[in-house]
Formats: sequence, C-alpha cells, structure tokens
Amino acid sequence: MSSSNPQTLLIPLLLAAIGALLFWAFWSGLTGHEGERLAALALERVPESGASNPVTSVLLNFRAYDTLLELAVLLAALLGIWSLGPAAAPYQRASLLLDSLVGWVVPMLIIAGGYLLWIGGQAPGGAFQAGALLGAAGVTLALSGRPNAGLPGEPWLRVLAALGTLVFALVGLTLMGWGLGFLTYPPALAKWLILTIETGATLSIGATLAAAFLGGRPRTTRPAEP
Amino acid sequence: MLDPLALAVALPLLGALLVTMLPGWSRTLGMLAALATTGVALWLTVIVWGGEGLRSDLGGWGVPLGIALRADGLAAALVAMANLVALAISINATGYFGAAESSRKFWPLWLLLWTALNGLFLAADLFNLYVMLELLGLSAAALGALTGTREAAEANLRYLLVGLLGSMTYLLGVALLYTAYGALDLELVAEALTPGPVAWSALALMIGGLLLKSALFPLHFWLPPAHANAPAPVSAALSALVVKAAVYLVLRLWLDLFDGIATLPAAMLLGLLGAGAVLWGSWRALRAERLKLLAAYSTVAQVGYLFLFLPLLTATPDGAERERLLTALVLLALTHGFAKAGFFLAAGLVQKSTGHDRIRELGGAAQSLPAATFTIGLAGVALIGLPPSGAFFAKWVLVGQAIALGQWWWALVAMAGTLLAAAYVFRVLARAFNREPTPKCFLTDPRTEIPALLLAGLGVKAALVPLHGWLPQAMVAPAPVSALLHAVAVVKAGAFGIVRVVYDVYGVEFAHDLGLLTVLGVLAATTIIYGSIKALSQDGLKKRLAYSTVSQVSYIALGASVLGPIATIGGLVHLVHQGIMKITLFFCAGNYAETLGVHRVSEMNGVGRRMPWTTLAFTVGALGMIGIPPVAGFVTKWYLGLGAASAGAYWVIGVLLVSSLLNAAYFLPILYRAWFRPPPEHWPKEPVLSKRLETAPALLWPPVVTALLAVVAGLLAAAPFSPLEWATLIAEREYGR
Amino acid sequence: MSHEILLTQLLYGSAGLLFFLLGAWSFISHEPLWRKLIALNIMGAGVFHVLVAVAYRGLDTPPDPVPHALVLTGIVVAVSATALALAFGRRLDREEPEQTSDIQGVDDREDGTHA
Repeated sequence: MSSSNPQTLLIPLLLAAIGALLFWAFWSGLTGHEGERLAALALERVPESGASNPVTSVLLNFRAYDTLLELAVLLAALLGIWSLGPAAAPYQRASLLLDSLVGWVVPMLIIAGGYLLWIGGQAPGGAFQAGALLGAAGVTLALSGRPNAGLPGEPWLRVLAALGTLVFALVGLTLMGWGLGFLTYPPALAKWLILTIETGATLSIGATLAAAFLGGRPRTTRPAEP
Repeated sequence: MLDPLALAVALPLLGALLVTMLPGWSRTLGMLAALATTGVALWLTVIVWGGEGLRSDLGGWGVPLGIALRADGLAAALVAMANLVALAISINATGYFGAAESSRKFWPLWLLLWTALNGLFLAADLFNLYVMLELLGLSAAALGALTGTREAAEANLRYLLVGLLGSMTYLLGVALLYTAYGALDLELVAEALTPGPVAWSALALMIGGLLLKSALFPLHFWLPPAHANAPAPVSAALSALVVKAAVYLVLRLWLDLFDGIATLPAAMLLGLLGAGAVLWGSWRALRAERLKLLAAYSTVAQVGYLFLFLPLLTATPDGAERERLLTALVLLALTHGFAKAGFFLAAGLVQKSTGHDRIRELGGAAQSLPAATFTIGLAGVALIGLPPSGAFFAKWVLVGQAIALGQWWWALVAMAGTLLAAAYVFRVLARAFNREPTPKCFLTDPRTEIPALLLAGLGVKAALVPLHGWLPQAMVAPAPVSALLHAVAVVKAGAFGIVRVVYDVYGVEFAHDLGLLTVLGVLAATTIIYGSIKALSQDGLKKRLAYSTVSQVSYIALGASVLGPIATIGGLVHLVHQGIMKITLFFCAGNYAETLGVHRVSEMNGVGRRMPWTTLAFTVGALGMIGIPPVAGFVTKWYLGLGAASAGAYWVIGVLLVSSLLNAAYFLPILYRAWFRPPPEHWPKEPVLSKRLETAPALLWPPVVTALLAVVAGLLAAAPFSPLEWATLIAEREYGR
Repeated sequence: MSHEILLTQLLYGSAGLLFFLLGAWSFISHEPLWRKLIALNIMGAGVFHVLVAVAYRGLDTPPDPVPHALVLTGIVVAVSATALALAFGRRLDREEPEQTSDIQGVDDREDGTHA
C-alpha cells in the first residue's frame, strides 16, 4: 500500500493536473494542424520506395536508419540478458497431447511467418510481424519442454542474433561505398534489397525473442568458462 | 563519398556485431573497432573545425520524410571528447578485463553503447533520438551490472527503470510535437514552433524525461549506486559520457528547439536545481567513504554546474558574451568528461590491486601505484577547477557573467562548490602522499594507467584548445592565427576574471570602507610568514619544500589584495615561475632519495660533490625562491614590491623582505651543507643507477632542464611572449579601457 | 477537416493520454518490479495510442504511415527493455550472485565497513 495519506492524494492530483495540460495541448495540436502532416509526402513517394505497403516503405526505406538501430536495441537487450546469468531450467517435457499439438502449431507458425515476410511488401506484414511469429514458435517449443526452444547451440545462435543487423549495416555500408550514400537504395534494386534485409531481420528477431524468453545464457553442453 | 557521420555510427555497430558472432576474438576486434571509430570521429571533428558544419540525409530522402544527421560545433566538440575518452576506456578495458569471460560480455555491449553515443550526438531527428536514448540506456544498464554483485544488479535495474520512465515521457513529447507540427526533424520543428500549450507541454515532457537521465538533483538518486558499483571502465563511461549525452540533449533542445519558448523562470528553476546538485553532490562526495562513490557524487555536482549556465544563457542576448558563456559551458563539459574518466580508471586500478576502494585505508596502496595516484591528482585539479584546467576558466566566466547579469547567487554557489570539491579531492590525496619511501617505478600497469593519465592530462590542458570555431553560432572558422588569439582570449578572460571579480565583488571604495582587502592581505601575509617558519623547522627535505610552497602560493593572494594591476601581474606570473622552480626542487629531492637514500637535510652533507648537476639545479631553484636575480623568482617579487609601492601599501614590501629573509634562512643552510661540508663515509643506500653519470639519465635531465627554464624565464622577462610581457599586455588592455 | 475524423482522433488520443497518466501513477505508487514493468508498458501503449490516433485520416483514406512505423519501432524497443528488466528481476530473485572471478565485486555500504 502507499506510504502515507497525503501521498495517496497528492500524486493522482498532480497527475490529473498534468493530464489536463496534456489534453489541452493535444486538442490544440489536433485542431491547429489541419494538414496532412507527413502522410501526403510519404504516400507520394511510396512507388519509388520498392514496396507498395506504405508502412514497409517508411520502415525499411525512408526511415531505415531507425529500424537498423532498433534491431541493435533488440540485440543489446539479448546481450544484457545473457550477461546476467544462465537460462532458466527447462519446463518438464510435454505430454503426448501437448506435444502433438506443438507438432502442428510450430510448422504453421513458421509458414505463416514466411508468408507475412513475403506479403509485407504489399500488404500489412513485414519483418517484425514475421519475426514475432517465429519467436512465438520458439516460445511454444520452450513451453513444451525443449530446453533450447528449438534454437541452435550458442555459436550459431550468436550468428543468428546478429544476422539481421549485420545484413542491414552491410547493405548500408556497401551502398555508401558505391557512392550512393548510407542506406540509399537505387530504385531498381530497392525491392530486392528490402526483401534481403527483411529476411535477415526476420530470422534475427525470431531467434532473439525466443532466446530472450529462455531468460539467460543458453545451456549448452560446453562446460562453463573459467 | 564516404560519409563520416554515418560511419561514426556504423563502425562501432559493425564492431559490436562481429564481436557478438566471434566472441573468441572480442578483444582484438573490439580494439580495431575502437580505433576505427575514433579515427572517423576525429576526421569529422577536423572537418567541422575547418569551418563547415556537416550534414547527411540518410536514404537520400531529405527531411521531413527521411532522417538527417548533423554535426555543428557543439556536436563535434562532444563527439571528439566522447570518442577520445571511449578509446582510452577501451585500452584500459583490455587490461582490466583480461581475456576471460567478462571480456566477452563487455565488448559487444560496450561497442553498442559507443554506437548510441555517436548516434545521439549526431542526431537531428526527434524520434531517432528516442531510439538512441533507449540503446544507450539498455547497454549502459547491462554494462553496469557486469560485476555480478547483487548491489550492482539492483542499482542498474533502478537505472534502467528510471531511464525507461524518462524515455517514455520524452516520447510523449515527440508525439505531441508531431501532432501539432507534422514533422520529426529538429530544425523543421524548431522553425514551426510557437508558444502555446503544445510547446510548453512538449518542453516539460521532453526536458523532464531527459532530466531523469542526466541525474539532475533531485532526480539524481539512481546515479551514485549505479556508477559506484560498475566495473571501473564502465563507471568511467557512465559518468563521463552517458550522463553527458543527456545533458547535451537538454542543452540542444533548450537552445535549438525551444529557443524562445524556454523562458527565464523555467531556466531559473533548472539553475536552482543545478545549485542544489552542486551543493548536495559536493557535500555527499565529501562524506563518501569509498573512492568510486565519491567520484559518482562528484558527477552529480558537476552536472549541477552545467545547469547553472542555463539561466545565464537565457538571460544573455545573442552576441560575444553569450558565445563566451557557451564556450565556457562546453569547456566545462569536456574537462569533466576527460577528468572523471581518468579518475575512474585510476580508481579502478587502485581497487583491483588492493581489493577495495575505501578512502580511509588507501594510504599504502596509493604509495605503490604512483601513476594512478598522480592521475587522481591531475583529475582532481580539473574537478576542483584549478588553473590551468579548462574548468577553471569555465568557472571564472560563469562567475563573471553571473555578477554582470546581477544573478550573483550562482557565483556564490559555484565558489562554495569549488571549496567543497577542493576539500574532497585533498582528502583523498592527503592519504596518498604521506609516506616515504618513494616507489621505484612510475607505471605499474601501463595498459590501465596510461589511458587514465592521458585523460586526466587532457582534462587539465583542455583550456588551451581554442573552442571558438566549434560553437553553433560560429560556423565560420577562425584562421590559425585568430585561433591562437582566441585561445589567448579564453585564457585572458579566465585570468582576468579574477581581477574583474575582485573589482566587482569588492570594489575599491567598498573594500577600503570595510577593510576587506586589508583582511585578505593580512591573511596572506600571515600565511607567508607561517609557512616560512614551519619550513625552517623541518628536517625532512620534502616537508620543507612543501611548507615553502604553502607560503609561496600566498603571494598571489597578497597581490590581489594589494589591488593594483602591477601587483596582480606579479602575483599571477609568480605562480608560473614558482611552479618551475618548485618542480626543479622536488625533482632534485627525488634524485637524492633515489640515488643516495637521502631524505633529510641533515643527511645532505657533501651531496654536491657526489651529484654536482643535481645540486646545481637545486641551487638555481633555491636562489629563485629566495628572489635573487637572474632567476625568475626575482622578477615577480620585484613587481609585487613595485605594485605595493604604487598602491601605497608599504607594509607589503616589509612582508616581502621578511619572507625573502626567511626563505634564505631555510634554503641557504642546505646549499652550504651540500657544497661545503664533507660527505659521510657511506650514503644511507646507494644503488648504482648509472655508470658514467651521477644518476640515471631519466632522473638527471628533468631538474637540469627545469632549472635552465627558471633562469631563462628570469633573463628573458622583458622578451615578447614571456609570461611577464603577456600579462603586462593584458593588464594594459584591461586597465587602459 | 471532417468532424468525424477529429472526433475519432480525439477519442483514441485522449484514451492514450489517460493510459499514460495511469501508467505513470502506477509506476510511482507500486513497489514490485513486475507492476512497475506493466506500468511502463501501459505508458508506452498510451503513447502509441496517441500516435495511431494522429495517423487516422478517415475510413476511406489510407492512414499516415509514419506514425505507424514509429509505433512498430516503439513496440520492439519496449519489448526489448521489458525483457532486460525481467532478466534483472530474475537475477535478483536468485540466491547466489553471478560471480565472474576477475572483476572485483565491491561492498556497497556507504560507510565503507565490511560485513
């Protein structure tokens, strides 16, 4: 419970006051700006971007730099989790019923993920959504008692986790080396570049989310380092 | 072709990825990435310094659709500092962590943190800043917990949560700005921003969130445990860089985005919190029992100093004054970055070799780690703000402007903080320098000590780098000549800040009425005499020299109290000359101790025959201290006397004469013993340090060189570019106004 | 701008602000780690609501893609941060410290006395 009576009232009151200011600001911002904000500009440029889904264009082309760094954030979180300790003890091995269900669900998740990855260029979908599904597959495997959530051993897992960001950064650096500029896609190649980056990202995101779910350094058969 | 801005972010990121995939190679790859990134950062800085700001539109889309990176003077200065510090930390880390498990955990996270730092300084997009802030926060929290202790985990979890609260708040501000202005680019939004509920809310939310991350009092509670419990290289990064990045952002938003919206009352509020930080942080540092905790609280105080500038900046209209204030602010930030990083690295070494960092029990350890202790001393100089560190000039500009604007209370806070800082730094150093014998080697672990030493040195020397061309307002570069002039200007501003303050604070009539100057003069005179008398009674050579220093430093106070320009010149120049002579004397004392085991004056009979060159250097230094021409000390005492005569304060001349006599009393007997008494049968100990020379060359040359300098400084006192000529020039310009 | 659009934006946006405030209150008032984490996530959801509301341009017009992209990025960042914080929580729940032998653990008590 909260510590003292004045405090229970004070904080909500304070927040309510701040809230009033925020509502007023939001209202004023909404009504004050009658225009399109960035929508018109973005939608106009979508055809040149290599994808017809506007959100993918923004994520993977116009604001690709943000996405690159966001993948880095994901990696940082995983590295942090790994540095804090070993993974939790695995769940008990699933019974026949759960096991067979998992046997159906996981492949479906993988296929659905692949589909979302592909369709993301044209319709809602994309690397993050696909990666989330792959991650869910990993979680399902973990819940049904597989100690490594279907992930490979630590060396390959490290490669998988870094892969998406690596592909992204290398694409950017190569384009810079060619004189186009960091992450500036030539319109002809844009579609394939986006697909390549998204594929790497999907694998990375799926692996990272599943590994994060395990909660720590993967339990491998390698003895602990001195 | 190659884009330095993007490279500065992409290179450390690439390094982090490679280290993640190939953990066995983490140290090598990590160092390579560190070198490459620092190289790019310095390249970037040089370009900006050369006059053009840098800008990069990523993806080729341009704002407002795409994301831009921008480097102006302010960003470039901080990028340079951050990357140099990060390089030093990287080198230190290769030694600190060794090649084991912890090294593999360190490097990828460290490189990601570096990526976030560079990205943050170069960012020009509000949402991009959010992502950078998160990357910074996550990697910093993970790194801080690497020691594995429970306390570290708790402290860093708290840091993580507070950081997340701050980022979330910041993000809401960004969302509101997008709602109202439909853009995310800093420049575009700044142009469109008008005062109103949106602007105020965004200001409060974004600055508020960032204040949590910059640990401004009273939101500083998370910092001391987090920084104190992290491994030393990480503490260095956290205090010197991560916190600095948040403060930089506050400054950037305040000056660029919210220019015109940020009112003086708001600035005053932040200044008030800054004052609280200075006083509270310095007080807690003084009471801290652990070295790293002391350093962490010192960071809280230093952040406060940076915020003290805000009300002054807001109240000063655009122009030369404002530019100088901004230079001072950047200088303070840079100095603190270097100094604090060096301090933490040195403290880490001390902790590693003794197993603890409790200040009370540091004595023996500090003795055996001379380089580390020296680093702490140097860093301490910069933290207190003693000349010639950048912090000194920065604080004097701060004080001067505060008084000029009528906001004198900030000056009081700054001075109180400086006093407290002096107290806590000397508390640490007092433990370290109270024992004989002197250690054999200066460096114990070069890989950890040299980076720390360099950083602390940079902290002290940062004042000499011309900063004028790096300011946002000044995109036009100074030519090398004008750069030099600007350097002199910064120094001039600092040195004569003293005089200006004395005039402004005391005022001639006011001071005379209240007798304040007389009090100061009497205090100075008393110290001079007291120090001299104590020196007389010391048999330990170094103790005698130390008391002599006490009395000599009071000469400058004496000069200021006499309040004539001539006397003050004398006082200032005396400091420089005194330094040269005192260094000579201490070098010689060290030589005697190393070569012959001689520590006491009573053991020095006939030492001139055994070590003639060293004793010659000692003689020069001693004569200078007494005030005999042509050694430098004569010049300054002459000027002090002249100034006193012209101000009518004849009693000062009396003090000068008496103290010179006392100096003669404690130096001449030494010289007599050294040259004219017969040497003893055996010296206390005599390791043979050199076959042909009287002692090892590395011990012999320094005092000889500095003694020569002392003579040269005295002889060339009338030459252009001598300290005396230069000081006279400044005085004429100032007083001739 | 149409009345309907404005009303919808206002509704979702205000709900977002409400979530933000609610989350802030919970963060400040509740002690356990997991409550603070939920609170942070609710604050995040609130901010995302505001962004999505701003992106709405009517039933027949495609929405503004930029805030949607921002929200996607924001979700990933929030998930990463939550995961790390939970790992910290797990670490604190364990009994023995995770010791790496070559880094000195330091006694944290401010008065410097050892146990």
